[in-house]
Amino acid sequence: MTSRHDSAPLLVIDDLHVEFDTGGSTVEAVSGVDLEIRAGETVAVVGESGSGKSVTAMAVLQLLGNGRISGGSVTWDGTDITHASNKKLRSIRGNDIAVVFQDPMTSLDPLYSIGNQLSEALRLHQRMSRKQARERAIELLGMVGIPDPAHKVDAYPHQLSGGQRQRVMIAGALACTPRLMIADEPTTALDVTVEAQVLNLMRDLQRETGVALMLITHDMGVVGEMADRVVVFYAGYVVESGLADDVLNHPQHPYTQALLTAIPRRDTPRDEPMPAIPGTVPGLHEMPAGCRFITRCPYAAERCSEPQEIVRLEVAGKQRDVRCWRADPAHRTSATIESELEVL
Amino acid sequence: MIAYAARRFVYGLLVLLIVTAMVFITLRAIPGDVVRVQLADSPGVTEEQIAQRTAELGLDQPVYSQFFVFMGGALRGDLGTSFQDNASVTAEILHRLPITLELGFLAILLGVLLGLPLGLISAIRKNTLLDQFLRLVSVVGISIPNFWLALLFITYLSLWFQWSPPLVYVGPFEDLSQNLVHMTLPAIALGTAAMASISRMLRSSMLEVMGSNFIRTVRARGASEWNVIFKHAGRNSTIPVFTLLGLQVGAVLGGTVILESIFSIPGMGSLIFESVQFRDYPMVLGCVIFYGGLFIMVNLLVDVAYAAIDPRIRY
Repeated sequence: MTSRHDSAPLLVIDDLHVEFDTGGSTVEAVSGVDLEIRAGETVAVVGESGSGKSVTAMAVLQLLGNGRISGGSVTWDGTDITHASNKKLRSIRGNDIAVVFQDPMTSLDPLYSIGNQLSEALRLHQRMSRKQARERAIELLGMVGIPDPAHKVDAYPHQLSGGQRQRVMIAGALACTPRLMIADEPTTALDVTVEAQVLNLMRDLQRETGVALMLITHDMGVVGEMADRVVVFYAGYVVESGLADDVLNHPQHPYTQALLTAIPRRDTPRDEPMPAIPGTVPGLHEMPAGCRFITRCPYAAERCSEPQEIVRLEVAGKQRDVRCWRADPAHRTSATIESELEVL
Repeated sequence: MIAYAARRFVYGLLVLLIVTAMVFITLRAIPGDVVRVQLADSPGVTEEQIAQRTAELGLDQPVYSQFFVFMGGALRGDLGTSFQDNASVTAEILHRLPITLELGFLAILLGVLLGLPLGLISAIRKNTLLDQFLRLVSVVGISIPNFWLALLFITYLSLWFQWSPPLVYVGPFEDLSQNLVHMTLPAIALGTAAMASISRMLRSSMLEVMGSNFIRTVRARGASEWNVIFKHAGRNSTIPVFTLLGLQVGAVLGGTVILESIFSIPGMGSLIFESVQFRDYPMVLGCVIFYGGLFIMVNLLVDVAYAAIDPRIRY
């Protein structure tokens, strides 16, 4: 794992800001996200709905609809692609960076056979002939575990189950052997047994192809199972990032801690209410100027109203980034400890 | 598929039968006696002569027996004889049908050839000035009655260019250019509403499809906008346009009645127009059956076309 971290990162997102037009006014959905992904690693991006994790991922490929990058930069393999031409972006999409979307039921065109849709990227990026592309499509379908691929290649999306469609989406993503696969909550729309199959498939394929994986999820269990590193989003920025196991075992940011306590456990008594973080994520129009978690944080103090910088520290010998002034050892003065005691 | 088409065909015949019965009864319920209308101008007509003529036309019989006599003939392909000149209704209609078909075809062709690109441009350039303009054109096009548009054409063309539509119809196989000179204006007047509604429908269905998840997948694959629009969004947005097209054919067929009269085109439309004035029951009924049959057939074709576009639809 150390060798991976020595190599130059594939994808560098630096202080990314993304704005959306909402009929007259603009709102900032992502405000200053930093994120790196190295070749072959799995980075889990976690956070609640609306925390900006999907928007960040889509910003990489600039598939933002009526949104746009309003600040910061995206660097792919050493090249700044923040202001790249459409042509350049198209040559990256599906070829170097591929996406598996959340809802396999609606993410395939209902009017074309899956073979046709799988062939599209191959014919486009690899200039394959119709026949070659079809051969490769059959091969890909076999690779993702679709039974009888030579026959299924002519099936239409509606003839496949949800799990099979997500396998097709994965096959489509891997068609041109990309170096990064962005999986945007790939199992949210699937039932639990199928979810495990799809995740296993992604892990196996990752091992075979060496593709890096940006796994967007809100399932902490998936993070522990799949990820090398984890990046925790809250309300449009990153609050904590580090090695997955370390973050799960020793969360530093109050939000990460709250998120981890909110995981339902098998031994939680049935009559007890499910643990949840009180309050709601602030709306995009009403973001607090300081720490964005201030409205829900049990440790909120005066200093939290000031803008929070990322604090880089070492936890258990590993690098950890936390966006909370309390995490800074220099600030762990008697005052903070007192206020924490007060809460207790 | 064939079973489906056959079933739909039988339903179509049933609909046609009901339409025929309704028109048959309605015609006889219209005030004004056909015999009196026909003989009104002749001086010194006696009640006896009127009764004799009524019996000749079979109008002294009860309506239901008239209907069965008519249906008996209709099933053998004989739609009766005209009250005006005893000509065969079937022969007269078959003689005029191609003219109406040409006009209807030109109108629909115009509607599709202009409506599709306009809708497409509107959708691609959504909310731009061009889009606003095209939408305005669509609303106006849908709202203007075709006969009024036709009257505007005739009035202003003769006023400004001293041009008026020819009075004598020339078939397309005799002199195509002369024929088109005659047909173009009524086709435009008829096709405008079709064009406008097709363009509106394509715009809205295109915008809906462009926002769907699979279009995002296509883009994420690195596909060009051309591929997104013409291969994926285009085909997916055509389905509602086809439904609309079937209905527009009905509107166009209805429009031929008045437009053929305005432009003195001797098709089925002007035939039915004259026949109604003359209370020529068999002729009106024959025309209605043909109009109805055309509409039913077109909509059957539309339903079959769905299956060709959308693999989810199987009959």
